[in-house]
Parts: sequence; structure tokens; C-alpha cells
Amino acid sequence: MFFIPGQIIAALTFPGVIVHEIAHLWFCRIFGVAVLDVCYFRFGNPAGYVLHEHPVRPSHQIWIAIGPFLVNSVIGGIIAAPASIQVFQFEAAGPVDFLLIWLGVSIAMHAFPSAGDAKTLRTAMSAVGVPLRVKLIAYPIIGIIFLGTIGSYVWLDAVYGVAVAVVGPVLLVALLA
Amino acid sequence: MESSPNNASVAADPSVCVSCGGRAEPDRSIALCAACRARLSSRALPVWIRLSAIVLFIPFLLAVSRFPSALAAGVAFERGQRAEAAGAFAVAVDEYTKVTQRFPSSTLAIARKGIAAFHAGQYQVAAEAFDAISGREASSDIVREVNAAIDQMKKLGR
Repeated sequence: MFFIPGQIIAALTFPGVIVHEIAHLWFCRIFGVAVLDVCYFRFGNPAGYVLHEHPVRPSHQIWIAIGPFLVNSVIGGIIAAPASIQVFQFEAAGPVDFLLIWLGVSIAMHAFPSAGDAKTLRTAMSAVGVPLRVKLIAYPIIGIIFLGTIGSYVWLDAVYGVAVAVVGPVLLVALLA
Repeated sequence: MESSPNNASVAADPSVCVSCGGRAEPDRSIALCAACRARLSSRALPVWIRLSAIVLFIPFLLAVSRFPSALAAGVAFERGQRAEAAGAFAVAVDEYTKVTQRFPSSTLAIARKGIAAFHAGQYQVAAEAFDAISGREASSDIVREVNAAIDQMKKLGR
């Protein structure tokens, strides 16, 4: 296992960072949550952030936290799928295909919510008056996010990006054939 | 990358909007009136982000437009491989043909079509396929299979 500073990885996969922050912003907009500050990309840690007020409903905080997971996974998968099928299924590759695969993997690998997202969600769930059913949904999500954060030290985020952008489309072909 | 609620208590009077001094909405973590909250929740994207979104939208559209063709070809290739493995070489030729019609640059699909055609006794189809990929780069396994088929066809006088 080799170590590459997160800032370099973020720079090489910057489209994913931008899409990730736009996804947070988009869910804030959906739920009418005031956004106080946004950084779409920077050479720092974190590479981007969205500073917002507490949502009224705790469930909204869940959606704001996991929004990037949904948006980045779908967009990354769609962008890379045709190129991945062409390259890895029957080897009809051109430069555009490799560009699309890089873009798809970049976006999908930033799907994982960050430890900051998990902490925010945990704080929201520990507030008074949060319904039990919401906590039952939220706490496993928080656990998965923290595991994903730990996993990113062993490239789990990159593995996920490749799985969504490359393995998924090839598996889809195998299922449909 | 993260989203963080602001925990700071920014308003001395929670009923007064910290942005415009108007009447703040009740029971919110930050004292903002409805208009200011709406403005902040639907804040406009910066120009460079809009441009980035447009740049990102182009490959997205490209991918969406290419997806049906790539999926159909991928399915046909997979079916061709399965048919070949089952000894149904004529079926495999038909499936590989679907791929090569869509993606004539696929050396692998053309090679597999030629090999399947050889085994199906379609020597003319096989010869055309092998001619089409002559001089192209391919994996050593495919080259070996193609050369073996060509040798066999020469022995058979085809």
C-alpha cells in the first residue's frame, strides 16, 4: 500500500470534489437550508466544504450528508459506463474513452461522505427530539461513513470509484447477455 | 469535503434576522427571515462553477448518447463468447458481427468473429475478418488463435 497526499488525489480528481459540494448545496436548496459559505475546490484539507445552518428536520440532515453519495455515484457511473464497456468488454478504445473513464472514476470516488459529514450527522442525531426511526436510519449510515473514511486510507474510495465506473457497467452487460 | 452546520449563535435577538433586521423565522438555528433564508439556500453558483458544469454536461450527454450502442454491443459480445464456448459458432459469428458493425475498430471482436467463422466453416467470413485486422496490435493469445486458424485454413486450401 502506498501513500499519496490527499491534496494531490483531490487535485487529480477535482471534478469529483466539485460535484460532491454541488450535491450538498443542491440538497440544502431542496430543503430550504441556508448556506453560509461554500468552497467548491481548493488545495487544502478539506478540498471543499459547504457551511450551512441546522435543518429543521433531522431527516433533512441525513439527505444533505448522503446527497453526494447518490449524485456522485449516478453521474460517475453514467459518464464512464459506455467507455468502460467498450474498453474492458471488447477493446474498442479511443482517447475520449479514457477521458470519460477518468472523469467517471474521479466523480464516483468522491461519492463517499466525509468524516466531517458523519460528525455533523451524529451531532444532529444527538439533539433532543429526534425520532427513534430517524436515529435507526442515521446511526448505521454514520457508522458506514466512518468505516468509509477509515477505508479511504487503503484506497477504498478509489476502489469504490472503479467499481461504480468500470466493474458495474461490465457486470450489467453480463447480466443482460 | 464536508457539509457542516454553523453552530455559532449569531443573533442576540433570535426574532431578528441577522442579515436584514427583519422578522426571523422561529425555531431555526440561525435567525433569518424567510426571504434571506430563501436567498441563502438557493445561492447562485459562481461563474467558474457554471462553466465547469457546462463542461461536465458535454461528456455526460456524450456518454448518455453512446450508452445504448455500447450496451448493445457489449451484450452481443458477451453472447458471442458464450455461444463460442458452447460450440454454437454460427450464432457466435452473428453476435460478433453485431459488435463489429457498431465498432469496426474493435480488433478483439473482429478476431473473435474470424475465429468463430473458421470453426463454423464460414471460411470466406473468416478470411475477411483476418484481413481486416492484419497489422493491428492484439494480445498474444488472440494472435496465436488467429494464426492457428489461418494455418488450418491454408492446409484446407481455403
